[in-house]
Amino acid sequence: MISFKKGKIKVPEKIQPTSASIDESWLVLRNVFDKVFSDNTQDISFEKTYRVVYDVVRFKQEAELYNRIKEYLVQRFESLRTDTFSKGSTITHSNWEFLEKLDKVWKSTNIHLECIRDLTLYLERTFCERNRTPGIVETGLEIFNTCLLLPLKDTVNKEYVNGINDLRDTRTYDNPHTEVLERLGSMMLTILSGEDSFFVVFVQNYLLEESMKYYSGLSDSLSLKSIEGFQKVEELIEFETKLDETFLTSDAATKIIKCINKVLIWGNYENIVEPLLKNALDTFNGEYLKKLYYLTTERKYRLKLRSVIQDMINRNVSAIELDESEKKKSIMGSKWTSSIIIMFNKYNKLLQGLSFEVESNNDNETKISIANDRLGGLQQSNDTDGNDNVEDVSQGTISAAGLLNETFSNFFKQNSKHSAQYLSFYLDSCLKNTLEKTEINDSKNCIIDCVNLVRLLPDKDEFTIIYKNQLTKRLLQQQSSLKVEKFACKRINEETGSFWTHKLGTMLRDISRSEYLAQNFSVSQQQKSIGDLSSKDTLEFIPDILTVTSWPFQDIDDIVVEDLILPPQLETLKLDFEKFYNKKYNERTLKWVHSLGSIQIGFQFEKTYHDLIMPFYSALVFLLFENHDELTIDMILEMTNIPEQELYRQLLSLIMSSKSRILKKSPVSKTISKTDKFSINYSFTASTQKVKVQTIVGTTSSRRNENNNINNVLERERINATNAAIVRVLKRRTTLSHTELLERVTEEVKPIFTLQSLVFKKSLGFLITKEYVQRDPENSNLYHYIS
Amino acid sequence: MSKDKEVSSFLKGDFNDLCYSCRTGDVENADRLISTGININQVDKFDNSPLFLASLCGHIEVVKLLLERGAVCDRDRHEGARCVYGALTDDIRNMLVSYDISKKFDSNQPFAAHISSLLNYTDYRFDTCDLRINCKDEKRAVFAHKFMVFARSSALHNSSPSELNEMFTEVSMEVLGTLIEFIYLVPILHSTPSTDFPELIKLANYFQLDSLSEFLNKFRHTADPVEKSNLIVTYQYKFTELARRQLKKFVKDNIIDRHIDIDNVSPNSVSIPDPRSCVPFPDIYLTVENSVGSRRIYPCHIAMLSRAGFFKDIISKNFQENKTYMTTKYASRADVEDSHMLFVELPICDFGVAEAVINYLYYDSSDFDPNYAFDVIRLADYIMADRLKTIAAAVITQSLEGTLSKNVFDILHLGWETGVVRLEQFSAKYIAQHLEELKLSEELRRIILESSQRISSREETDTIELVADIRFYLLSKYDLEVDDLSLLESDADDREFLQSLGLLDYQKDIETLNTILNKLGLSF
Repeated sequence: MISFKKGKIKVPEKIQPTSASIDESWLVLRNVFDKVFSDNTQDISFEKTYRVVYDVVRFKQEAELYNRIKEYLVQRFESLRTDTFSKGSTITHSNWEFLEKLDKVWKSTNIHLECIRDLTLYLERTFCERNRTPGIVETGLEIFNTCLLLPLKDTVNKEYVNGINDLRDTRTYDNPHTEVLERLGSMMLTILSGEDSFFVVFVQNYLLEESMKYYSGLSDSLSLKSIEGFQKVEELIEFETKLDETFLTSDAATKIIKCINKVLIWGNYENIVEPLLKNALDTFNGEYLKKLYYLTTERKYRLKLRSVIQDMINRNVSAIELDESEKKKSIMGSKWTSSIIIMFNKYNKLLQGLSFEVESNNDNETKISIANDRLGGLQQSNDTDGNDNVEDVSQGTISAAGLLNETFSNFFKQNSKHSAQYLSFYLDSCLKNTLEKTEINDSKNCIIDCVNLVRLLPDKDEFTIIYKNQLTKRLLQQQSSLKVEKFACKRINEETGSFWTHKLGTMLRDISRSEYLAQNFSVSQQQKSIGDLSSKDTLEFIPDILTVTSWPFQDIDDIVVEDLILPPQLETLKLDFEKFYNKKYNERTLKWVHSLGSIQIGFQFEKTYHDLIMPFYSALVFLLFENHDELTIDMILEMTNIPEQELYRQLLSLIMSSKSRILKKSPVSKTISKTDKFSINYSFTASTQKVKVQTIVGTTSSRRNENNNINNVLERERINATNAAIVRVLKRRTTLSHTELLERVTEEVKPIFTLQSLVFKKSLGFLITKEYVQRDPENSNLYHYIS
Repeated sequence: MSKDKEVSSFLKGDFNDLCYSCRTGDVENADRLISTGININQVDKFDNSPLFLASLCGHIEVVKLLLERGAVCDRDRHEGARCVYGALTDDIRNMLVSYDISKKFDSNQPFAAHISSLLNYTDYRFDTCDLRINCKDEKRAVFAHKFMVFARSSALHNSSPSELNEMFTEVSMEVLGTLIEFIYLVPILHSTPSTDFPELIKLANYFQLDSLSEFLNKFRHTADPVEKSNLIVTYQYKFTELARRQLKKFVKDNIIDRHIDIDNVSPNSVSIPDPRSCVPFPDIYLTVENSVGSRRIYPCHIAMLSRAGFFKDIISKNFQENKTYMTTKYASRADVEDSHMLFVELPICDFGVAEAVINYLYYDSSDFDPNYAFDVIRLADYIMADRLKTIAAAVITQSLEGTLSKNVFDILHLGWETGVVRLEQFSAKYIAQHLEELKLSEELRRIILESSQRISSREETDTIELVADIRFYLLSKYDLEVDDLSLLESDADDREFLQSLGLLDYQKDIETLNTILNKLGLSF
């Protein structure tokens, strides 16, 4: 039950209508404000104060009142400054005294200003809103800034930084002091000085400088070394990040971290970065590399990081040596290539995920760099100064792969003499392994890896030509699986562009079409043989029909021997096939290049039975012995019509070769003379059933010949390509100066090979004589396009 | 005026298009039509507003658009209640309700929304409830205001709060909550489960909440959903109107009539009834002194007065008044004797003015003697009740139109003083209409001068506001557009034509105005 006596309650005295005099009202209000500043708000009557303000406004004294409040606040804050932060007390040994005081002042100032705002709400709602003058709190903070904070600015700066350094020393970020810093930080951000906050205008730079000093001092005392040093730095950074995020703006925090990075890591370049990178690249451990990279945000340092990594990789790759102990050049080359591939893959894995982004200075550069990036490492100019080129490319964003490509591309350029050849050797050996099904997958991976490198070659055309020659050999001698060949061709095509590789495609197509024809042909032969019971022994015939232009035979007429005399069986077969083929494609002419073929013959020697795989000519000679026991050279010549030179070579191989000596001659000697007689060497035997009868390739001169051939072909093709490029360029421009033309054409052919001035001159000379291009009669430096 | 009608008839077709878009849910088209300036709060020939159509057809995007563009969903009005209960989905209903009561303690919010918001206070300092009602679960209780329960039901008429509590010991929290929500005009009709009905009806009968029990009984026996929703719509509107009437009666009987005159008595001997047990259970006393020095005290309630910013601040800010109030409140909760009371004195005004303000704050009344309108605006300005200011301004402009002459300058002054733009415009319009009569008036000159001086305190100084307003209303006086003025030059010879357009009269008025300005040295 509520018990409540009816009490006599004091009715408040009536509020005297305030006089028009602002002075009297001001006395009242000042008294009230004094109470606010002494935190006695509960003694203030909101109603009465509100009323006083209301009356002042009613009597149109609002502007005066506003100014007096301002003056009052100026006084307040000034005396607050002198009382609390007098000179004597700022020189104190305790770091935190000043900051704690300031924090307290700031806290109470906020409360006080809000109180005054509430009490003078009517002023705020009328005068300030209608005249768009800043409200009491806003004005108050401004006054706080000018009267209290600005005069103390140096001390604030010093103490604030000291406070932060103190926390850094103690390595704690979770204590009351942090909160003080946090509040002061927000104070400095709230208070405006001109356009920006107090913090940005006065404190930030000082803080950065001091942090720099602090950490460089720390770096001297810690003597950071290698990976342990880096780990230490990491710890420091982790701490600083946590510390900063409690009371700094993210902007300032990033800047500080940048500072640390600059001072501690790059300031200790020899001690930290170099060992770290070396370790990462030697052990292929990307962990620290990644961390280092993420800590490095400045463009300058990222560029540096990039170039250092490139240098180191280059050094490591160059360290791969040719194994001179291998006799065969091809084995040596492919060994070299495989080590490089291993290295490349390792680095690729290591650098994966790191994008070596470097903020570009303007959009234009970004575009260039994107173009560069898109082309990967393909784009390598023939600038004599390689460093310049690196600088250009590194203007913008480059992925780790880009970086690696660039490095390897440069490496290949340095080794341009043999890199194309060796890569091709490697592919050759890979592809030759593909007859066994189990090895196909391994080979495919090797091919992918190797072709990855092919696209980095500066002279891709050279590679193509060598590869083509080897491909021819492989295809005609069926040394590899057609499927894998196709796969490899497709990959190469993807990486180097179709212009140089479409002939490879045609070659492969010829082979597969030949297989198809062979099947059809054998079916038709069988049908024929059903009617003709006499031919008991059927021959297996594998024709290869080659498109002349696609294959790397220099002069078809040189190798076609028209008047060769074939054994009757083969002759029939030849005629049958010609008939069959003409039926199918009657527009085409078929020419037989016997020298590229081979024949497999089964023969029972004295001791063993062997399948002899022989070159076509050798086989022809061998077949003669079906009907003859002994023959002389002249007889053979007469019966076969093999070119004499060629016959000598074949016979020589048949009697000399250590592994496949299936003929013997009397008298025994190392040379062949007209009077020598040849017969089958019945005593021949070998460990395997299949015996490959090889033709001795002749002397060293022929190998040099081969190299010369390649170079000739290369030059011819390059001139052709340059011709086309010049015409393309000039057609668009009509007139160009020599240097301009050279520049543009170089750019045109860059994806495929590096233009040499000799080639350019030859090509230009050719075009002038053919009257595609005309030299300007007055200015010999100028060229016109003749349409 | 005729022009307005013309404009609205011109837009009629578009409004029908808007209604169609609201039915079909075509947000883009609705947006386009609204941007042409259609009044989206009108109704079509079937009395449907666009908002109602959109909610009924379940197009929440259109509903949102309409609300954002200022469509009114005022539950105090029949139309608003229809929208809430006609809404197809709960999502739409919640959106409508949230737009209605989202702004807690916004002094501009109308009647029902304010009362509903009293149950959802967020600031502990604003916990104005003085009635705790326990229910079956002893740990839980419902809080309310004695005066509100008293005004809306008979629950407290014959019993004390503690006796009241005895009655509810068997009632579940949910039902009790629903009942209180009903009293506070929260729209509960659609969300109350029918299982609660018997208990609710019992309680409603007991407390003579006749309309609620009537509704519940009808609703229980209605099966057709359409009829059901119609019932809800009708009754929710009825409830609001009923509450308004009840509060009106309460204010008259228990606040206005229970005022205490203290002018003849020595202040110390005034006896004030115990606010805790005596109707109207006040927690704040308004002291008013009129122009002849009589003084009166009105026992009031912070809950209702807080619709005005002044009363809200007086309690929620940490000053002496807050201290007094909190002391009283804690004493009352702890059942301790206490003689603190909160008195607030208003500026000097007639009692009628104070009562008009009280009526407005309690039940949204704008029904007061136009003679008080000036003082009501001033008082509303003092207590920071902006909506009342505009209402009173409307009262002035409507009731005084055509009858006042020199009064217009007072109105203008009042407009400046209290920042009511409507009054400034009204005065400018009046001056424009009556320029001929006023052109010699000294007061006109003085006030133009005054207006020009007001400029200095503004940022943009290129015009005298009053003069610009007068020029604007001179155009509308002769039904002219700004573009028509070019005719004055192009057709300068055809005086008959210009006369027929009213351009010549307009020109004459402008010249009169310019003469005055010249004399004042203000021409530019």
